[in-house]
Amino acid sequence: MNLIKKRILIEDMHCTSCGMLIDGELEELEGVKSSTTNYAKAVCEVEFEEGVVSIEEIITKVKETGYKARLF
Amino acid sequence: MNLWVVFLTGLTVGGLTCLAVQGGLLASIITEREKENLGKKKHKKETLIPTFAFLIAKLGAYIILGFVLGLLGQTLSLSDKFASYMQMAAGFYVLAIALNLLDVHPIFRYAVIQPPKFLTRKVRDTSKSKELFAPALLGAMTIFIPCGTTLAMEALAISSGSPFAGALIMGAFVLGTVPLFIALGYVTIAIGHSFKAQFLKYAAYALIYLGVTSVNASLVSLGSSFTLQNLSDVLPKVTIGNPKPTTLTTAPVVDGVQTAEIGVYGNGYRPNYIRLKANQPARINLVVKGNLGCTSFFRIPELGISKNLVDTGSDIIEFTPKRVGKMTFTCSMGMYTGVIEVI
Repeated sequence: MNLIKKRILIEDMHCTSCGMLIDGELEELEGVKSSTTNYAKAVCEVEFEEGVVSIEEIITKVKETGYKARLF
Repeated sequence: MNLWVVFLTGLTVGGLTCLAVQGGLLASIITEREKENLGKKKHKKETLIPTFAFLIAKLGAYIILGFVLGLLGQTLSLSDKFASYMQMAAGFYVLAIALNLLDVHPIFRYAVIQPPKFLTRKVRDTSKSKELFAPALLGAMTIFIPCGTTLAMEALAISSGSPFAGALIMGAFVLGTVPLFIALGYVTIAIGHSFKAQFLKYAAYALIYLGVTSVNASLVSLGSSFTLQNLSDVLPKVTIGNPKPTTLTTAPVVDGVQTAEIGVYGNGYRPNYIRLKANQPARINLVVKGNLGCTSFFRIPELGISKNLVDTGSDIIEFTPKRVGKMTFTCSMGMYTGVIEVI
């Protein structure tokens, strides 16, 4: 199992609950071990299993949730 | 406290920011329950009951929270001065939240306190529950995921220094969030970002008003000369219509004591402007008219006078004005004020 950590820059969050929403969506993705979104820094730190899920898929998921996202 | 503005803030911002998330969570509960009902061959779609259960529980939880925060404020208000500083801090905090809503600078994002992850996880888990009481539980648990505006209201509730005022503030705010929640149901999540941004602006203005009045009120109670009331004194005045004269000219002298009477009402003082001569003993008769809120506490910060007024009848304060100029008298929170001009 090859766990890697990446940081994603997220725009358009209104409050800390948006972070909760994003974490919830990401952690439901298969292969994502944990997601921690910091509202103040507008950064999401995601830990996932390489090969099971890709960072592109993760970013797409954030976008689907309604936020702008790109790799930090 | 301007409960209407608090309500209005709820109506605008509370209706949207938190709602985008809370509505989404509630939607997820409703979907879970629908799946259950489908299994039981109940095809009726139930959204109204869970929505109301959610809202009522939320309102109840916030009223209790407001009560506790007010109580905390009361405990912290060890002195009048400290209470005023607390009110000032709350005012600046509210302003920081408003500036964050207006996207003035990313630094203001730090004003929004992020709840710990175990709490947000708990809230999320609740939203996946199929339990009958899950919508109500979720409603109550929203106190753990406050948005910036909610935090601003909580700061005001603490600075109110009274459990009942705190409960009223939080109650008015959450009540304000209800109409939009019912109107839009849980579909708010689909609202576009540009519409949201527009709405947030109005909420920010309401917050700026609350923040500025809070800071100003603290300055009034601290006896500062830099207050909005004094500022408006030096600005040119435009009078429309027939303003009620509230000025009482030089107080009559009885037995060598200049005597004035001020009617104390629940919403202020009448007259709110009295004129006294310097270096001559003065007596002010405070006549209580009707039910008092924060006006039940009368203060002249400059002279260090503070008096808790009787419920009915009248109270007397005596002093000898020395410094020529204007000084402010005020209620405990600095919301209602008047001027004593010493000539």
